[in-house]
Amino acid sequence: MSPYRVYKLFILWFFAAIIGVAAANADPAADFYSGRQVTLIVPTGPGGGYSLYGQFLGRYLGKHIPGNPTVVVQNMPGGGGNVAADDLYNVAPNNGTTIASLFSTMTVTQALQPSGAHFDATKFGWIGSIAPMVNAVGVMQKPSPISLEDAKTKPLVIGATGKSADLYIYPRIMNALLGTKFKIVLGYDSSGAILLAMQSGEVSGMAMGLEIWDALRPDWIKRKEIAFIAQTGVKRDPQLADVPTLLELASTPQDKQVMTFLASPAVLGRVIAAPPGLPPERLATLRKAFNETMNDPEFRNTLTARGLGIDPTSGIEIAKFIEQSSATPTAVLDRTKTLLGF
Amino acid sequence: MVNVLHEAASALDVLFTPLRMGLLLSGVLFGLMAGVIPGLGGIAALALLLPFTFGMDPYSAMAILMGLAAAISHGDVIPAVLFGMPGTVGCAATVMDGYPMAKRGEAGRALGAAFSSSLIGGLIGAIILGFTIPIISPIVLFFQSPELLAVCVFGMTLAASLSGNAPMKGVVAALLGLLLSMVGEDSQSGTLRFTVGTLYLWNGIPIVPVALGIFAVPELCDIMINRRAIARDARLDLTKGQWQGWKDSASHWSLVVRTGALGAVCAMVPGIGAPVIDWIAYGHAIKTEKGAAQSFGKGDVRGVIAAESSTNAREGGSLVTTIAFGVPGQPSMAILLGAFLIQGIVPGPDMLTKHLDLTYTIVWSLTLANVFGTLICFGLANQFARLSTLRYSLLLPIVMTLVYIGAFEGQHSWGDIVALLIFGTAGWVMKRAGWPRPPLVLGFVLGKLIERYMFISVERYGWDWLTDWFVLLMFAASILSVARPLLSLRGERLWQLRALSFGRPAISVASIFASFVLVIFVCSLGIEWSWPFAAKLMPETVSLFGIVFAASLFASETFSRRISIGETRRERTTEPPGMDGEIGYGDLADREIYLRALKYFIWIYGVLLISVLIGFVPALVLSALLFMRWQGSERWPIALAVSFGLFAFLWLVFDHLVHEAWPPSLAGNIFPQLRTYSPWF
Repeated sequence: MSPYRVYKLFILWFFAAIIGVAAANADPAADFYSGRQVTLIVPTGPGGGYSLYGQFLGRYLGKHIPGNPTVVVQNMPGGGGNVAADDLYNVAPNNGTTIASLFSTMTVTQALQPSGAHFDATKFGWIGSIAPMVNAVGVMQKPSPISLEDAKTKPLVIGATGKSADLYIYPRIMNALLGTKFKIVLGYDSSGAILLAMQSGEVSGMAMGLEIWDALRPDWIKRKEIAFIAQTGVKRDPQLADVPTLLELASTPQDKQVMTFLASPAVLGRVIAAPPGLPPERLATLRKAFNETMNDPEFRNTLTARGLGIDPTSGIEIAKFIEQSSATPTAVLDRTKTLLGF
Repeated sequence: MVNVLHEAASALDVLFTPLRMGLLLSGVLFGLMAGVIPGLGGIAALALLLPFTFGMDPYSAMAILMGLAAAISHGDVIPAVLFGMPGTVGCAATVMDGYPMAKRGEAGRALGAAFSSSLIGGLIGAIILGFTIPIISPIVLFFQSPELLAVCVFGMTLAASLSGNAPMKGVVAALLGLLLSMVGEDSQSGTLRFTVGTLYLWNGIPIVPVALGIFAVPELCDIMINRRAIARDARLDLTKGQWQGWKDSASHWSLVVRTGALGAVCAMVPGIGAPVIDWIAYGHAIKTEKGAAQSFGKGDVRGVIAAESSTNAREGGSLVTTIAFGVPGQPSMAILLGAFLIQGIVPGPDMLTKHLDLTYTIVWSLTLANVFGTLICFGLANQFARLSTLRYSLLLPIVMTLVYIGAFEGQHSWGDIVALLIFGTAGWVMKRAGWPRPPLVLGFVLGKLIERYMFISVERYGWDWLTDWFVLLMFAASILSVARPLLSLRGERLWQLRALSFGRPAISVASIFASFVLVIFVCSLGIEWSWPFAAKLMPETVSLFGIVFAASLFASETFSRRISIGETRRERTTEPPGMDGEIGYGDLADREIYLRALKYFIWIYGVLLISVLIGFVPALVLSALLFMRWQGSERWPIALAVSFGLFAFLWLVFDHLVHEAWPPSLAGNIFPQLRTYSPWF
């Protein structure tokens, strides 16, 4: 056999092998993902809740995507979550190899500060949400116990970071619509710094994710050194069954509209999205993999063992919810903006 | 107390298993690597390691993570001393004296002094952590916003001693730093200050590209101008030099202890992190060490000692608030906090009772990691130090690539590279015009904190806090700290005023730069005009002072025969102002200097341009290759081999280990297909 023939035979064999393998693996999704890498963008720096959820999701999601790609987590902090959302919307390849965890407050900040948002939330491919994210307004019970009614009569100092953060938005809307007299001090570096200020007596309370309260100050909750006087969301969190939601507290239909809009971050929670314009079958694959991951007992154990909540919402429902939320009338948005001082 | 000692002893026992010691050692090795490679800062390295600790028990997890955290500030000394490039932002002050020493051929001595002082500093930090943690709570809680404000203001006055003999320029540089720190979303009103419509600037300018631009880029430019290896005409005194460095640390033991303690205590204050602690210690050394005002910045080993001891003591200090309150003192601690939570450990009072053994595992890991780190560095330093004799045509493209990648650590965006280049250009001009650069960094880091704590203090306490004894004490100390050098200057100054003569305007780099800075202040004032009161209060104050000082500086640079207070033109050419490294270009003509500098800047800006077109990684490798071949006249085989090495390194470390998010290039935008093949586009 001449060397040329050997070469030709080799080429033939090579293609035959590829076709053979392809025929054996006739699943197009598996075809696409096998040997590839999926990037999961996290909208904060390493450390913190978003990063932890991202790490754990990254470890298990790959197992449930046909072809078992490796999922790598990429931190993309900045712009109050806008950098990551912007990248997912405008830059990331829309073939299903890049997905992202987005800020739950995304829809609210987009409405308040449209200059930073270069995306249309309704166009993302919504994969699902791992857990809702209820924000709870907690106040220290020392030196004297304080209830929601007390907060309406005496000024309480509430610590907050920046004006566009949820730490500010919720106490501020309570002042505007519920008659609380919170004196909101802005400028703290992080929620951790506010916890320290609460401990030293500089401030009396803060609005923060319930999960983070649970993770960082379980002893305060256990010893009843802190009380939650209100929570966000459309329904009460089981853990805070006797704490009213802001939506319940709103008295007029107009106020309820504002509170419904501001409840959307709680519903979105730990939400995962793909870029817009993803092929529908690929989005379906990712949604299915996400749902399977949420039911994976190992994944559930991993999260619950670390006090991270899991109460998933499917991508289809999230997409519906986003659709509704973005249909909020401009008048309501404008009123919200005015009430929050934007 | 007996209980505490018992727990401390049993924690050591827990740590002394082959597995945990092995993990500790691998953490140290990884940390050293991360410190040496500028692009791979501590945060990235910790984040990389974090997932591997998920399956470990808490003691093992702490062993490997603490090993890494402690070792980083051993490793980052090496590029700081050898190339004038801070390996992490925490060791910019080490560059001030370490790099001039390396240029004199004393790299070994500088490294020896750095390793030994950072070992002792690290141990001091661990000891302070170990002993204070049971009693620290009331002290940390004493520091409310007004107290923190007072501490930051005092820190700011150190800019005076960091200005060498050019106080006026120091003031303007510090004001410029303050103004730059105001960039980003204002927390009081939500105003986007100076963000020029980009998301990049929303959270402010990241410190990493600023530090690399201000300190590393100018040194690299000077290498290009001199076209020689860094350590020129000097035999390398490696092992002997290192021993000399150890002896230096021993004979300046009180400085080591003082700056170590200072570093650890400063680190306990949340917000005062790595980027300023080394400067605070350095400023302290200038004030307290004999003759330091004249010799610091020109290769005084005491400068290296002060900076390094404080830098490494920091880790222990910043762990205090992380462990006792769950409030991370610096970004790397936020990741450690994540590790705690993953292990199901809640920082706080429990760490001092239920988990005391774990707390002491951390203390011991920190201690042992320091010892291991030092020993390894001591063994390897000779190999590294040889790099400073490498010819410029190979060294420059390699180090410059690392600087680009390092800057990228800021926000992982094109903005980092733009910031690096702008600050790099400014840094070189400042160096050339005799401006002290440390006050700018000090202002940049402390400005944000001063504004934050001032607003919180006023909002929360009205003006009552001004009568607080601690605040009054710190303000008095601040006034004294600024007034003393001015008072001692008075005699000289009066003499100078008599000798001051006005003349026809003389245009120099210094006067052009002064006018440029003046324009910045004037423009900023114009931009600030329309902002809400809370957003413009601080920046406007800074701009107004900036205009006054920059205008008088410009006048004195342009019209008078004196450069500025305490500095004559004759002095400037013969003796570089303090805090400014060494300018010496040998007997190169000015024209040639500027020509070569221009070439350098065309090159580094060109890399950005090509990167935007074809992607960051391809452009870095390509430009390194072209530089070696045409600027350095290296032979093809060498140029190709080195670029291939660079490429392999970037690909392995940043694509496969870190999974870096490279910024989008034009090529990738036009052909999105490219992105499905490689993340470079």
